[in-house]
Amino acid sequence: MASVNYALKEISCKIVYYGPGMCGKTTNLQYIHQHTMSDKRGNMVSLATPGERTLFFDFLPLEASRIHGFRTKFQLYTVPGQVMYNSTRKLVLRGVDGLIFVCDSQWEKMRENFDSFRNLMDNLSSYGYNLETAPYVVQYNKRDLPNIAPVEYLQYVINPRQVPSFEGIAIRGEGVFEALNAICSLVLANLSEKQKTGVA
Amino acid sequence: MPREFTAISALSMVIASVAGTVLCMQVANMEARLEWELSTPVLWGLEAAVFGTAVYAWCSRVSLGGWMLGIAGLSLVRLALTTGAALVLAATRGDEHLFGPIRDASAVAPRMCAFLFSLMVFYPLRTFLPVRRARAGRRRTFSESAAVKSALGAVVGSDSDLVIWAGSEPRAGGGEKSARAATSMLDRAHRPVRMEGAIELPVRLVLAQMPPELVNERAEKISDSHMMSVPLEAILPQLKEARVAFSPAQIREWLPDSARRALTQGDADAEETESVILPLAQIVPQLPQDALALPAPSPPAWANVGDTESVVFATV
Repeated sequence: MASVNYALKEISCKIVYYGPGMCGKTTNLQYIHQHTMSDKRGNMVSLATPGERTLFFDFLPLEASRIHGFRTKFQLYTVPGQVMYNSTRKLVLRGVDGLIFVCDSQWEKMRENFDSFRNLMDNLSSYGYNLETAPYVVQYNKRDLPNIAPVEYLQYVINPRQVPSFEGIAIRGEGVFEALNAICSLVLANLSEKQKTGVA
Repeated sequence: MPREFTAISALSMVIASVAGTVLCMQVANMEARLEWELSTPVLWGLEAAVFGTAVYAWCSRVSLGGWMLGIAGLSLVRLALTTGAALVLAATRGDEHLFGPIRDASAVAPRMCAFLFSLMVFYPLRTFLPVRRARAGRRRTFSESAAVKSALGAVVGSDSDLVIWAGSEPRAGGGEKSARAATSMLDRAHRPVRMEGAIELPVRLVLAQMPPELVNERAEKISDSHMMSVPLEAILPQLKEARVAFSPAQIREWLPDSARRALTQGDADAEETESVILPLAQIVPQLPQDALALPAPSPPAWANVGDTESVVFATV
């Protein structure tokens, strides 16, 4: 549900970080918040439990470079990863323009990654969206931990279509901006494509 | 305001009505009278004031209309109780005219009785009183913030001159079909692989995943060197779902004889229906090189957009 305001020369897009609980979605957003110029971002809104688990969602408005004279604004959201908050996840997905699926690379989280990805597809379908039409990239997070699955297997389970994917250590910022830049570029390119073909 | 009128609420209203009527009648029928009397307008005024306070106490967000409705409703209930008491009084006394019983039931003491019971009778109905709308200028809660509205798909900047929506609006229906299509999209992406061979797994690790009631104390004596072979053809189809699981009965077949003695004979149904999850961390490193090979990339159409202009975020 990207909006293009020709009067203000402004484009606004919604990016959602999706993934299982504790995979590092909020950490991604926190790193972005800490490492972007303060005049190019808004306040990060976060509603978490005392145990630092996302209760509702996190939100970070961000402004990127001008593209063809248009100010590009991105609204970054995370979803609560815990299984019980599916209705919130579904709500956050509404009007999404692009997704970053964050995987937890640890062996014991493999099934949760898989379930979360299936859950993403189910939730998208409730709005009539699907991953054929919604751009997404995959981030394999926590690559610094000892008990991690090889990227080949993560790719096999989560990303057999081989969309752009990134290894990440969100807490150190590795792979964070790479994934964000990739999805933002894809979203804008798709927006442009849709307008050319008159879908918009 | 939640509508929480239940059968219990209705029952409590009936009980309070009957009790109020009977008590009011009893008090009205008493010989002793209060020495002080208040004029009727003063009594109505006092009642309306207390009713108004009660309505507000029950529901602080009640609208003006709802508040007046509440006062009117309470007054009607109070009148009904008094009238009921007067009718019962007339019937028990055998009075031909209602004037006397009504006068007696409207005295201060029975009236107070009816007044108190009218609060009890009306209390469950408070949930139906209309509440006032949120004022535009009041402090917004988190759930009403722009972030939440945006998440819920509200139009941000709807007062702009021109907004073009890219992508489809949420559609009702068609969800299941789309979900199936999305799921099969992933399934199609994996090519079927047939391979001969087996994966060697430590017996102790596998037994640790078995239902405890199926494992006896001999399992503790099995050393780490004991291995079991699981055929690749049984494992490969499950790999794409990030879980390799088999029934205890199936595992029993693959266990070496020495380890099989560590299992007790369990319920046949449970052995077929329960599942034993095998450790992926042990399986995946032993897979042949081509087991995880994916077909040529088949990214969705949105990935083939030609030149993409890179987005630059100003970082510190």
